[in-house]
Amino acid sequence: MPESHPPQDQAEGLQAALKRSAPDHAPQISPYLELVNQILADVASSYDADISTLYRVSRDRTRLGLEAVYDSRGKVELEGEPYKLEWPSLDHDQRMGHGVTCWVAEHGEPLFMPNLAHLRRHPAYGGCGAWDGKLFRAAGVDDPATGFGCFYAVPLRTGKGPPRDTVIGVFKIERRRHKKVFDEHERKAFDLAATSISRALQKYLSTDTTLRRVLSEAAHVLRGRLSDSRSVLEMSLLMLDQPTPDVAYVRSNLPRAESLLKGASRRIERVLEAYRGPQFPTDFRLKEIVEAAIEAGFANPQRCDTSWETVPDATIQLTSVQRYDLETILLNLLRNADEHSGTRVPVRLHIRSAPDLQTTEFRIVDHGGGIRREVVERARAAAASGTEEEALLVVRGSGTGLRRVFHFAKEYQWEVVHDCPADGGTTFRVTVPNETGLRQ
Amino acid sequence: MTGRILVADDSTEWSKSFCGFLSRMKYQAESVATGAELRDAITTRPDDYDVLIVDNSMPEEHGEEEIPYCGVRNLGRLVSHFWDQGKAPPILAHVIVRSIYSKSDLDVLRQQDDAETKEGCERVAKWFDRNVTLDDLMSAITELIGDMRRRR
Repeated sequence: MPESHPPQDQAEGLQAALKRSAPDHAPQISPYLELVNQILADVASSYDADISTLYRVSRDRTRLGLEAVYDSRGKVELEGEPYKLEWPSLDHDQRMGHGVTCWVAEHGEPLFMPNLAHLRRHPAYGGCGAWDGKLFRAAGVDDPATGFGCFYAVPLRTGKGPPRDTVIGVFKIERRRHKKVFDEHERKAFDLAATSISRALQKYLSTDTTLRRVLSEAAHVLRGRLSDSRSVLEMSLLMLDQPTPDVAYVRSNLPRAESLLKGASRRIERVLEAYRGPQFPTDFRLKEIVEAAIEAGFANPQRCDTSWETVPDATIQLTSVQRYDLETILLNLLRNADEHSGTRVPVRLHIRSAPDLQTTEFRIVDHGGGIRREVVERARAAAASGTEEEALLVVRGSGTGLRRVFHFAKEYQWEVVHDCPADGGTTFRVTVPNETGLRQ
Repeated sequence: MTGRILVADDSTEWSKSFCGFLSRMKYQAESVATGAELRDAITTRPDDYDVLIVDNSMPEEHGEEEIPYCGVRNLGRLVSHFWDQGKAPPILAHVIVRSIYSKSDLDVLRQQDDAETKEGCERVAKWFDRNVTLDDLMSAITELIGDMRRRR
């Protein structure tokens, strides 16, 4: 007789199951965003600036949205419609009233407004919206005591190119009317703060982009492997459904279906691990990275002859996603080497580092026919010319991924050197700068 | 023998299984895993195959990253190759793509790509998502082989 449960038990059981299925630890908040918020808060309180605001350019670069606002007491919760960015030709920008903050982003230039009268004369000034009403209390920007005093807005840039390509946000500092206007020294201090915010924001965006790429790859792998394994099982079922079931075929197919699913499972586990791990430089044990790459790269780990020239329990500082990418580089190069070496000669992996060295070096050597120089250079050129969007399109299949190796190397400024001597064999040397050095 | 089929897919677990299935269905089937192997098989033995089932995203060569439109690009290259020789083999008129990329993804890539990719796209007789059912895939093969026989 089927066992029955009262509804209360079912609800508790569900809650317990949900609790069990929850991740051990949620993804950590990026320390880069924490740093940005800290700078905003410090500026608002330390410089007696009253209000400091961060605006961010959207991913599609069409809008400038309010990211965070601080006054001298702390964070202010505000909501508002983002500005629409049009990135006009700066020589012919005749638009009026589209917003001074928007103007700063589009022109990529700082803007200082010493008083309300100046502000209202600026062609981009579009009136005081609901945000200003909340920031300057009920009396509004015209109040002689608490109304608008002055502001200084600085574009946050990633480089010296056109604003359309380089502006990622705007940092704006405002002061109420009863205080003096920002002097030159204060504005220089705000420029410095903007530089720090810009750097932290770039780091955050870079990590965010990497995570999106990693998750996109996971979805791609999962979809392909599931489709293939479903198809293999469908063929097996059809063969079992014959008047004379073809058991031998089904037996040969089951390991293939299992292999497809195991492969997908391994990849997804690795992706989740990268996503859940710390997104700021953390000590990782070199041995764990190397062992994980060997395990994923070889059916028989004995195929890899590993030698160490490091201190015991050497560690390297990486973000969790960088660790994942370093492992991917090693995995791809080991697979390549395995494919090009003979069946009897093991692939050699040598890891070299020492406390006085600023880098960790991985040397992968095979003694087979070697990968042709033009193949390697083609992969390197493709990675060098590729955009971030193309990197998202590039996926790792069941083969090896030289292009991906070079893409990561470019992204993190790691060095990958290839040597293919005339007498055969291939050597890849991967060098990872190690800011903090290896630790015992 | 009811037909000769070439399967080009870098997922060898699937392609081996599918070739085994096809041989039990009385087809003659072979598999390749890269773009270079695909070109080599068709250029050296152009009349040995009737239908091509190709994964659109494969590595060009072993040791390289898979390329999202490798399948159709190589089709285009094969068309150019046989155009120079004045005679295209039947397999180039009987191409089935089974791809993780949808047709709309390919349209985006095609806009930025070369003449060979465009030519290859024109040669595709049937386009399936990777999770196509076996029934639909086998129906497409039967239809293309039937078409080939009628032409003969």
